[in-house]
Amino acid sequence: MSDFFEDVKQIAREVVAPFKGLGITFGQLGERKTTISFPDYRRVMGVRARWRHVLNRYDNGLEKCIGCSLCAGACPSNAILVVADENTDEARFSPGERYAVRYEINMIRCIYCGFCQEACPTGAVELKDVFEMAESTRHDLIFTKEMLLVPDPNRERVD
Amino acid sequence: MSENDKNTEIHTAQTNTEEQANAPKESTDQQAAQQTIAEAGAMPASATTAQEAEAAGRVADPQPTAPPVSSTQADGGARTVEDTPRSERDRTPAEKADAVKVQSDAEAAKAAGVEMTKVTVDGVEVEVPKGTLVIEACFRAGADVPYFCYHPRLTSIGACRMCLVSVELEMFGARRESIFTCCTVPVAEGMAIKTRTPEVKKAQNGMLEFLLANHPLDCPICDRGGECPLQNMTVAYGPPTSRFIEEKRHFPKAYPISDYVVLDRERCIQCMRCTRFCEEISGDGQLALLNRGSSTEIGTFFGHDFTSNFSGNTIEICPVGALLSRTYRFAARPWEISSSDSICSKCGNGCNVALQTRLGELVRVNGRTNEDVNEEWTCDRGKFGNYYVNDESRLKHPLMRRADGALHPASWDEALAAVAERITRTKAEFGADAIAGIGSTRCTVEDNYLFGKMLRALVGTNNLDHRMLPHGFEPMQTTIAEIEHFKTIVSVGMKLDWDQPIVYLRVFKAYSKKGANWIKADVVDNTVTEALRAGGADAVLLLPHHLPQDQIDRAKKLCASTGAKLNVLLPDCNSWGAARAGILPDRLPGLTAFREGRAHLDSFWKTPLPTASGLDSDGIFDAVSAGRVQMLYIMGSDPATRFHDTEKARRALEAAPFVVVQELFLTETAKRADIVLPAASFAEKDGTFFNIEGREQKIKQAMPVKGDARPDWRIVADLMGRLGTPVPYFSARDIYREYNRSIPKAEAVAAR
Repeated sequence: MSDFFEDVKQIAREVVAPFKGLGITFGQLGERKTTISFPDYRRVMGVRARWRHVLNRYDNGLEKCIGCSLCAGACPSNAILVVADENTDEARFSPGERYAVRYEINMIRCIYCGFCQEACPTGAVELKDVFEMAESTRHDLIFTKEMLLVPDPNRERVD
Repeated sequence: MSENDKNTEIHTAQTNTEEQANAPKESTDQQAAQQTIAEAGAMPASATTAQEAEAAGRVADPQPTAPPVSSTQADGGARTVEDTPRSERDRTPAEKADAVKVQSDAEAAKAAGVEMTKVTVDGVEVEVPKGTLVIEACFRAGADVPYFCYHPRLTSIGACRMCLVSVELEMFGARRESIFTCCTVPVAEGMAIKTRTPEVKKAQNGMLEFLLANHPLDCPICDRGGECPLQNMTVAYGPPTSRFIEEKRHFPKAYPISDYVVLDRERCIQCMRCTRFCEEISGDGQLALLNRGSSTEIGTFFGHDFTSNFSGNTIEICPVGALLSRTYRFAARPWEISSSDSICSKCGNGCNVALQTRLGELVRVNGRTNEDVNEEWTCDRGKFGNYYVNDESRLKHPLMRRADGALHPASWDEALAAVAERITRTKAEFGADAIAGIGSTRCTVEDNYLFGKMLRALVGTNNLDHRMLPHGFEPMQTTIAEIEHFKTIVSVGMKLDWDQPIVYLRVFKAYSKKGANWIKADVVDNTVTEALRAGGADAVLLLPHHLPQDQIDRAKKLCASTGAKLNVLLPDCNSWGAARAGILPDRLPGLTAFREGRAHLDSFWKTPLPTASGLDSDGIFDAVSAGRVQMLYIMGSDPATRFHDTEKARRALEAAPFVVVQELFLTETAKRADIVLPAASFAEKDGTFFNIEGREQKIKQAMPVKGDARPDWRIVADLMGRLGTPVPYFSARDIYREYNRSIPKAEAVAAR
């Protein structure tokens, strides 16, 4: 006898269960969404987010990078290449004598540890919140100096 | 005093007693010992330590058992440890080996009758020859002393004041201790030298603070950063911060003082290594200290160019980034460089250098130490002249003269097939002697040996030479290092510091430090005769290779009669090696005379060699012009500009029906060739050079080969394969082994 009532209870629970589950589903309809519509909307990163590097400039537009290679020396995955050259008065890129004529970071080698940022004596290289780095070839993921440099604040953007 | 401090003191007392028991002159009386300890204990009572002791006392009062966190305690503790000789178990294998070496050196010196002085360095007893500087005794005992201006090859002047140590010495009836620069003071019997006491530490801190008062902290952009003694010493011995807040001294940055050297006066710490180098080693005295006090700076006389041929060395010995190379400027950081030991290719002296490369380019050439050749110096030609290996105008592909009469790029296969086909055809039509080869004094022994083997064994001709001057081969009678021991040195017809820089340094050393007479003459004339007569057997005559033959003959006769040594100085990095490799019409490898070596080589090369001796380079060019030689194979040589009769060489090159040239650049000779094969430079291949004294030295590949070029030996080996004899050479070493075996045994022993 008791088995009979147990069976009825069980059936009742199973009938109710989907409605319970759906209740949660429909209940969530009113909540704020976790996902975002990515290309149209971008999430604001935390202040300490460590994504892609950028090369900073001073307010007067000169590059902060002096091509000292300390970032390359500190890099544990050997992802950075710096080739330096001498500034002249005609072609001045950074304050002082030295500037980076080539500055390349291999973004697939990089482990985003931020040692380069720590090693940088001028605060030129920083890991910022730029995270969109998908490319179709390995070669495209070697970021050159032109790709890493922030735009010159004193120059009008052409695009 | 807290309990701990007392303990420390007792500990100190024990160790000091032990130390004094070792010292022979000290009384072992406990009373006297304790007196000394009391003095020693009072020693560090400078302002700070006294204050700290007081503070420690205050802290210790309420809690007598608490360990006082003061530097007195730490210093006292450190001191006990440091003053005690470490037990045998604590020593590293390297330290044990050093100790054994020190011991054996001391015994050897004693056996040789050198007067020895016994000193104690940080509790380690060492015996050093009398007159040794304290700093050298410290290094001998394994102690570390920071220094900037001290250099073992220069006079000690104590300019940087960095090598301060505390020295305890019996003087005027009392045992006194004071701090002084140990690079200027010779050792005395019974000295107790301490390199790590708190006072010394404080003095070192202070000196570094002074040195950094005006030194800009632009290490990130300084080429010396990363291998800078000032950086290293500051990390190891310096204070963490400076008390100087004033503006530093300013000069214009990067002031070029010559084509090769750039001077940054802000960075200079006035150690005077460069000025001493210019005065004592290179002898031109072109750098000097200008002005006085804090405005002291290094400069040249009236701002003239720093034209010394040894200016590059000042860059290397500068302990900061004040003197820097213009060719290396910003080219690399020291940790990015890969360095290979090699031999300089610019002259015959055979300086040991380190070729330093980055991203496949030669960025710097530094000297290596070899006491028998270059000590540690290099000349500017070697230091700044080897960049030709980076040149963009280097040949990167084989070139062939096509139907339009111009040289066009070709593949290796095409070029080598054409050469092989032409050799076979010429041999069949005109005989083997219609082919002639010219080897090179700038290629390695391996290249030359294989070249000779190909022409002799495969082609079958003896028309083989490397000489650009019609002179016999005249080996040096002394080594380079021996030159400095002669009392009379006569150099004829050359600007020694430019033509033979390392020989010049030896001659100048003999002249300036050992009181030798140095006579310079333009030709072998009566002055030379008189000087050699007066010098007798203690004289040496240095002749350039390019002197006319009659002058060389005269000098030879003269030296034979007076007993003087004759050194004919060859021009190129492998001048001797080319001859040793058998690139002469009448000599075989190992300079064996043709008649003597033939039998051995017949069986060794498994081919009968041509019987008659061949034509020398003059004869070859004559024969080409006369049409008897139909094909000219030139390896790494440029007779169109370097042959003694360039007109003759050019005429011959134009008249020759077929010319093959292996070269680095499109030289005048290569322009006249029918096939040009690009060769690897000395930095891109392994091999062996013989320098002017016949010293055998290895070169190593330092960088990848430019373009499609190949090492000379590989080109020749490929050609040998195409001519029908596959050759089993995988590396230059294989060829070198074969070269060694190709020399008949007795000759190998007797040679040199």
